[in-house]
Amino acid sequence: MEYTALVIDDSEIMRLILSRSLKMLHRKPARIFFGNNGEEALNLLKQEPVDVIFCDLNMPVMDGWGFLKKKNEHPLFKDIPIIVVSTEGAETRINELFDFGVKGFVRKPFHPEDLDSLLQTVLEE
Amino acid sequence: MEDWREKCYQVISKTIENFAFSFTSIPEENALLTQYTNLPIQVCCKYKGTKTGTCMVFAPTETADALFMSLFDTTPESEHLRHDILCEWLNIFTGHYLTEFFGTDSEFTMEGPFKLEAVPLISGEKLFEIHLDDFPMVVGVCDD
Repeated sequence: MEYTALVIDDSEIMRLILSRSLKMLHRKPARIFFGNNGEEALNLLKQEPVDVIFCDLNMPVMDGWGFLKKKNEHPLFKDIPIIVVSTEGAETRINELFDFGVKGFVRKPFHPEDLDSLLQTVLEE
Repeated sequence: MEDWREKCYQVISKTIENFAFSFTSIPEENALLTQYTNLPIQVCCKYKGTKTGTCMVFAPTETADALFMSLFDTTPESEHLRHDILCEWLNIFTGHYLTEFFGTDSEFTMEGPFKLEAVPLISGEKLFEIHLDDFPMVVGVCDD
């Protein structure tokens, strides 16, 4: 079954890498939308429903933490599963992400296969 | 300091290999170390937390092109992408450097990587010249 994804990262390179990686997995995305930061992503979500979100943490304008908070407060967006893709390595912060309802955490740099089982699980929930 | 350099080189090598499937080596001669301030690509990533400091990369355009080629099988279409690819690797390197040296129980805030406007003087002990396949670049770490 195809799905739609939203990739939020301020780095064009990382958006390209994530997009290419998703297209290499067992489950192919029907469409991938992109946001440079949390604010852009929230505006995009108002227009385009998505099945899963991949989000960086460290971004200008609205970072990943700000986006998570706003998303969780929004009645239409709060149930969209989110996978954080970041360089964060502090255990307390990673645990905090799961307290915020994040479904998965992938540390950069990653290989496409690192996303595969995580994505399957998230989409089947 | 030798232990520090060895550990730091391991972080450089591991992050480049996992980021771009490229291999690094330490050249026998460090031709770029005395002229790193003249290299066209100069990006930095600042961090604050248990320690405050900056990680930096200095590279010729050919190195950015090689890194881009490793990832995307093509050359970058713009100068912006040349900087962006080194910024992204530097962001990854800095995150892993902090975990490796300060542990997973230390919290840091990293600024998004950006182009350097003025190059600070970096102690020679904390400057590395490495080769990414056959292309050189200089990595510097500067504690505030």
